[in-house]
Amino acid sequence: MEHKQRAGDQYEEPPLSGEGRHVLVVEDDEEFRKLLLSLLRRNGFRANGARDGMEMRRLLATAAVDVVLLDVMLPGQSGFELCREIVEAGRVPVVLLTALVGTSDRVVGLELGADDYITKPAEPRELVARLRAVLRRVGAGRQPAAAQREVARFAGWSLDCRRRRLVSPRESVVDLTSGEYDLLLAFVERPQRVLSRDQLLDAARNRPFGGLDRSMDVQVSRLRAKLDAEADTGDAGLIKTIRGSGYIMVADVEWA
Amino acid sequence: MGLNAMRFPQSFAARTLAYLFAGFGVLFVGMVVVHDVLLRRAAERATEEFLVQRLATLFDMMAVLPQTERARVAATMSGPETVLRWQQDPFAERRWPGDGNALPRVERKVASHVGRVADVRATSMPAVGGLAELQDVNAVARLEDGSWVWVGLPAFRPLMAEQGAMHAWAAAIGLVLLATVGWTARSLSAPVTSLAAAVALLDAERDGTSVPVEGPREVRALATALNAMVARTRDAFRQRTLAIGALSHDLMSPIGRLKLRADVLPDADREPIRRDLAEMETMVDDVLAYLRGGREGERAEPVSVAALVRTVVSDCLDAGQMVEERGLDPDAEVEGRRVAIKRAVTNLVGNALRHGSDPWVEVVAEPAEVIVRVGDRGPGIPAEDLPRVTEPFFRGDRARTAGGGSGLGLATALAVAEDHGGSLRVWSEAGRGTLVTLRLPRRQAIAGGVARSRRPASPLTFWSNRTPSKPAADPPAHHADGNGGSAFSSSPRRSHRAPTPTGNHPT
Repeated sequence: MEHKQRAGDQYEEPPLSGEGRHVLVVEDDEEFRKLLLSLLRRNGFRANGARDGMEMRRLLATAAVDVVLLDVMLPGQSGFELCREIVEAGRVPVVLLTALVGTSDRVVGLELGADDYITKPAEPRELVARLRAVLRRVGAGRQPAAAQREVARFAGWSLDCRRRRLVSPRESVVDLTSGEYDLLLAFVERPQRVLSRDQLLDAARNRPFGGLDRSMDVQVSRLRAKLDAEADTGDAGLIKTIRGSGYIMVADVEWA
Repeated sequence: MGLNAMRFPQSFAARTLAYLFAGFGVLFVGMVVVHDVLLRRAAERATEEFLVQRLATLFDMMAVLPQTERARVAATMSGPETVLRWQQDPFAERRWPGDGNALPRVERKVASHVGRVADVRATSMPAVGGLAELQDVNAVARLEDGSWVWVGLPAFRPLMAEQGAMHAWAAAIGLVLLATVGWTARSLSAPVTSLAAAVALLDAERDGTSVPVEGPREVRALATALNAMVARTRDAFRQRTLAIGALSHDLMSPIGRLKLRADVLPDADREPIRRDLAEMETMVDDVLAYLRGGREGERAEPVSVAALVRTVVSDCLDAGQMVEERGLDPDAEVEGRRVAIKRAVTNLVGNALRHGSDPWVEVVAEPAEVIVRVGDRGPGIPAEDLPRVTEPFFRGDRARTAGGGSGLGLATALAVAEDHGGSLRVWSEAGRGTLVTLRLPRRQAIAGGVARSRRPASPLTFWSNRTPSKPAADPPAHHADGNGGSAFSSSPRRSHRAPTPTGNHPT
């Protein structure tokens, strides 16, 4: 796959595909579960399904599962309860499938320690990309989100990774597209390092950049526009272009 | 009768007062009349009886006296109130016997009381106050020995009935009664009035509104009944909402499955299916959002509107839809619900894309307000549709044929605006375009400064296109370049309202 060749870069992250990685799909709608499993298998995952919490526990106990894709609306024990259980028990990351459009469910899910959430009529590609992103993060040796550092502070800004929320120095929430968030996270996780376009593409892999496949430069300039507009900083801004090699985030980052 | 519909008292209190006034008036006058008549009759009887006694006593006394004493005693007893004379021969006074009214009953009774007299004659002048007040009473009688006695009473009023004072008292009591009745009527109607005021504030679609159960028992019963009715209506609303919500929610499952199924198809087949599914998803999502009133269960927090609008525009561009980004003032911050506001803006931009052409968006920070303007060139909204575009599920003819859209976009945007204490204004001119202005109270710096202002006007205003001079503040600058208009959607719930140049929507 295309990202294989990028794995050879100086980039520390492991290969991005979830090939061979084991996904446990917990979903009560049988038809939907089958479709999810076949989608995941088509995309190179090993995938197994569980109908409810009982089956999920049995499978977790017997097989090495890399990530759980968990429906929130389950008969009996709700997905949130199961999510808390998994997070407390160990290191298997959880991605929530929520059919509810309301934001409160996402916040609840993320605060319970889920690594990500996907609203339910999910775009298949986005779903695959999100799973890969979570696996990549965990594969990089980091703790699952529960034990992870949560808030990054830089130049008066704060980025809440749990809630995917960026707050400006003026303390107002700055809305980001998913692509912008992933990009910013990539910068914040690697401050004061030059990142090439390819590295940024990898980092933001969980977001297919729309149908037109906007160039990375456009994404960066959008993010920069938001950061510069809100911060009242007259100088060159937080993200600088290094001609010929990429971009660099110049601010110090503190994690809380 | 002078009581036509206009002059008949309209209020409960006034009517009660009028009825009580009439009733008490009849009762009062009747009582006074009956009392007067009965009293007068009794007084007349008593007066007559007194007169008989008096005359009988005097005649009897004269009859008993020896003849020699009679003239002297008569002179002694005469005074200003009584004239008593005795003489041997019949009297030939000028008034006797012809003047005055005869009092035959008195004559008969005196004759029967005093056995020693005969030929009793009594008269009196017609009295002003009826028979209870006699004037100029004259009576003569012949004694047994043939001599005559004359009794004259210039005024005979043994019973001083002071009718005038009585009437005055009665009138005073009547006035007090009226005042009490008026006050009672007011206090009777006051609970009804306050109940009506409370009912006017009832909103069956919102929880927590009920009328206070207080006042007299009937009013309490009415309030209880009203509350029960509101609860039933609210339940019905909730049922309907739940049904729509459940249906919409359930639709998401097949949509989700179809998306997965389509994924195995070749690109040429998959893309149109994916687009259709995305459209269905958007519609269902719109319904769910509208049913939640644009609230999405989030808390209000400081939000940068400029960044939010930038995101909306970016998403549109990524989807291949051109939206022009005009000025986005980074100072435009509000205290609000990010997802809700984003949805409102997305709906406005989506409308401009769907129904207009060359859509643009701009964000302006004013001292007290943040203004988001979304405009387009396009056919504009027909004037007759304009007042209804924010009604849920309303879709103009053009919007229906153009396809797409749930008819909830503007309704949801309006709900979001209202929820934040802001307003939504739709301006449209046929052939030139549409301009939607979303105003939200601006977040004030922590240091204070200008107090947050809420728009006093109703949350929604709309302009018709007939008076291009009217939209003084906002549109001309943006319409000078010849924008078209757009046909928005809204719902048929409310009655049709004639578009006025600056009609205020009471929503």
